[in-house]
Amino acid sequence: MSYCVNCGVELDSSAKKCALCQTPVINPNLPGYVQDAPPPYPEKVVLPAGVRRRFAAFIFTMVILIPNIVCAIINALFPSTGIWALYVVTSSALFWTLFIQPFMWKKVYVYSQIGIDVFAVTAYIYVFYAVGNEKGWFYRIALPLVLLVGLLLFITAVWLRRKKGIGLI
Amino acid sequence: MAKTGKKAATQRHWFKLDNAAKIFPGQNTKTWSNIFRISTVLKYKIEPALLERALENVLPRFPCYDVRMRRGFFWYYLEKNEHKIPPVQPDIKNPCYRIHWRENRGFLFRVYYYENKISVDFFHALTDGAGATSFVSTLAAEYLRLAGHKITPGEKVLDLDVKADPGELEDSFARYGDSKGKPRHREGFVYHAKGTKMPSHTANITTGYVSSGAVLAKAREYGVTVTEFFAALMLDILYRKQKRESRKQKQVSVQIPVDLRRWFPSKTLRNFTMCYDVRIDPSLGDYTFEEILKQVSLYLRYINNPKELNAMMTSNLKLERNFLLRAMPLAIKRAGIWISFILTGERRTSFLLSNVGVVKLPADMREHVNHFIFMPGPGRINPARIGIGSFQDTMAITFANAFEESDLERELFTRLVRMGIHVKIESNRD
Repeated sequence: MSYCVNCGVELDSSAKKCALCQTPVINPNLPGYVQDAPPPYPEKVVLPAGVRRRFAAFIFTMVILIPNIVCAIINALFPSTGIWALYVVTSSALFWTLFIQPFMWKKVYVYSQIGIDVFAVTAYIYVFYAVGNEKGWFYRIALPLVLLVGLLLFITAVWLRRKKGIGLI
Repeated sequence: MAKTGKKAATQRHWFKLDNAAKIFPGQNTKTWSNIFRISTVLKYKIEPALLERALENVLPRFPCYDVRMRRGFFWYYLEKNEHKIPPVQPDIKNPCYRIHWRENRGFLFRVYYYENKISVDFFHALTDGAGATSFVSTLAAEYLRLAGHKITPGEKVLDLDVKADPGELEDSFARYGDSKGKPRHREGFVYHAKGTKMPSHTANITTGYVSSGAVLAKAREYGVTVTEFFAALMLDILYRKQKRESRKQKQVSVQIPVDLRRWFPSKTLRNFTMCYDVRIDPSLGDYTFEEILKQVSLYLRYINNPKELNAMMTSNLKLERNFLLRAMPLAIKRAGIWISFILTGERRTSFLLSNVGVVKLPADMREHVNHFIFMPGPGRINPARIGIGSFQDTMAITFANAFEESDLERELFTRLVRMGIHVKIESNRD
């Protein structure tokens, strides 16, 4: 039987330190704890199986990949029809980046995700800009708008995370 | 009748979820469920094979727990489980982790054993503390019988030779909720203690054993009940923690479930509790412990009566019976429950204090039982979730903490020590 010198509570005979303040149990005359006394709880931690999100994301990726490959092959076989497969591929890539790619990670990396999304949207718009003939609108309008929205998202994320335990992100 | 693809004569029994249980499946996430644990510590080491046999004998007596969760188009419902019993497992360090409909052979309670302790984790949709205590007591009694002791049924131990009474399986909310009044609502933001969250599915559990007599004497000294005493003690601790932590002072609130069986005669083994919300408001001025104690005790005595409780019950029943809500598909109901839970739920309260009271057992069983432990599952945002259970002179105060810090537990137990009450600590912390 030992007591915590700091808290004044009696401790379990198996305890090597106080559960309340982590002060070690030291008794100059005796070993403070009984060596083979069973601890109050077993050591085994059972973590339940998680949802297989990454597997589902992988399946979706494969499903999206098929029509894209088909389109790319057909377009390559008939180059005279223009480079229409580019639109299919870039749109699919954007969709994948925004909605499927986040589920491939074990954790939610909020700030990296915002960065990736901003980059993907910018790249998507740039493809149209590069293909089209009009000049200037990408740097004057599109890029500042995307960056502004990205910044607002970033600020919202910072604010929500600072409000402790909101449970949403 | 639920469609099970079988003829009526052989159809398995099924239950609607009771009024209080309706919200619990909707609150489930992949990391959190509303779960609590009742343990009983016997004087002998538990034999798993014997416990399994005891469970086989006991479960038919409790048809309302011999079920699995099913999704209907409009509501969740409970249907008889095709398996005989849930697996009897060695205990783990992280009790009360989330429940999943397809795990554990579909059962909504998990049975564990460790050394002298039998523990059962219940999903709250099945029952409340009173029903669960009865189940665990009956299980322990049957275990002792199989181990060669003579135990007569009585008190919390149910007779296994009689069939379950319809009154034990009823939704008592529906029977008693008939008030015309409106329940009082308390508004305003409340304080939530800050800390470092433990990884998902784990929690720090600390049980302090005290003498019931000593605590009762202390509470009497102040002229309050045991529940009021602990509620005021924790309110005081959190109120002072908030004062140290921040300049902005919010209300501090405690959620106290009350057993309605005390006011409305019911034998039900399913949910029949309501929660009171007691608050102190620091914007009114500084409080001393004695003032908080007075406030809690007077407020509870003022509000804790069948009329108020009936109004609370009826307002919940009205939601369940609302035509528009009933017509919504389950997925929409679920989303609604989830949103309301995120916005209200634990946000309305700073901590939970649940006292299942004194567990009464038949005379010939008492000598074989050391004590009972009641533990609420860890919260999502609040660190303090406290369960109190007493048996004879041992009162077990269990603190389920989802945070790594142990300052709240330490404060509570050291205050008891300073009041001259001997406390013995047991924990799953390393």
